[in-house]
Amino acid sequence: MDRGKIAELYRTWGPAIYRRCLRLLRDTEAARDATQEVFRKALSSPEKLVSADTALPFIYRVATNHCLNERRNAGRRGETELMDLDVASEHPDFPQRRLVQRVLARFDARTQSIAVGVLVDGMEHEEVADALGISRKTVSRKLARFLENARKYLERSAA
Amino acid sequence: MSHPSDLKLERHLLDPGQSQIGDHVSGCELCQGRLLAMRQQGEDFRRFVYPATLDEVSRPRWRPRQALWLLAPAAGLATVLLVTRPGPPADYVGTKGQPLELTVYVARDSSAHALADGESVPASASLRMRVHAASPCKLAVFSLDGNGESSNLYASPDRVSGAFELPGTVRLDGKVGPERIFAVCEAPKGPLEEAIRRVAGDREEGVRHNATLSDVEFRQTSVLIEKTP
Repeated sequence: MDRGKIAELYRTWGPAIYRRCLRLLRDTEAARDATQEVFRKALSSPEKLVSADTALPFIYRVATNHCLNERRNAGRRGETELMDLDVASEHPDFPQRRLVQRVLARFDARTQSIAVGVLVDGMEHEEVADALGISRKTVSRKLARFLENARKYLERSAA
Repeated sequence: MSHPSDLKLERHLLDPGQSQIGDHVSGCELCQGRLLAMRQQGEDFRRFVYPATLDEVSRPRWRPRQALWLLAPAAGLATVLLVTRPGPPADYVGTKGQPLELTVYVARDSSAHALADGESVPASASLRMRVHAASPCKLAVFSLDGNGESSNLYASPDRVSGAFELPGTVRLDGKVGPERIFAVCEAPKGPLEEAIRRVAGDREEGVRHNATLSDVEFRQTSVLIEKTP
């Protein structure tokens, strides 16, 4: 792909990638670096960047996976500042206002993506399923397991 | 009151005329504030991030200039790759997971092509792998396929560090579907097997979506490949 085409795609989809990375990493420098990485990954499937219908869910998925991975790596390095995420809407089984990294880190990558999608991004189960390319049933099952185990963990931590 | 997700707001920003949440947004101060913040972040991208990073994202992907695939004479079973140039630069998109990096190569058009995460390869392709460990590492490399079956590909007898090419080639099994190749450092057997079982239990979805093994402390990285007919 020539530089002009890449520049055009970057101008079009870069803002959405940057916003997503900023949302999850909460740091402009980290978001800038992540935006480059995510866009380069996205370029490996240029056919998905042709229309908004395919590009936005694809970007959401690639950026979410990348940034949650960055967060895990930062956690392992002990870089825990700004790691907690604001919960978008109240959930009866998750009364906390923030989704703290130490809770998130207890779950596998896909469960983390689902929990962030529903609790932080405020997405419906079906929207999460479409964006992550998985079934709605999987979203419900994984989220239920996350909520149950997160609640128990938080109760244990408070005791 | 339920508000639209960020993803719906992104669609709205791209094309307000076709937006399905236009009515909600026009009457919701909270969402108008969110859109304002998103526009500002988009402007920050255009003013600061885009000009500073365009060169980097536009740089051609690295490909070895001199690579040669030879058919191994022994029984005609294996394909052998001779890479005569050292590995890709650190910013190559197929390499990930500092401080442990794994790059997977496949033969393509008489050269070695480093695979991006999730890239498709023929189901019977032969692969070579390169690992870079920032510090000494008792290395193990294994793969997990969509049927939940794992295959041990390599275990270093001693600690290795720096760039390290795995000996020989790995011939894929010819079955269509996802396969994830993991490299791990200093992984205790019990926790490793338990972590693999958790991913394997979810079959194809587990392989596709678990870039890392959860609830383990050791260094790890992985590359997903999609085996196609």
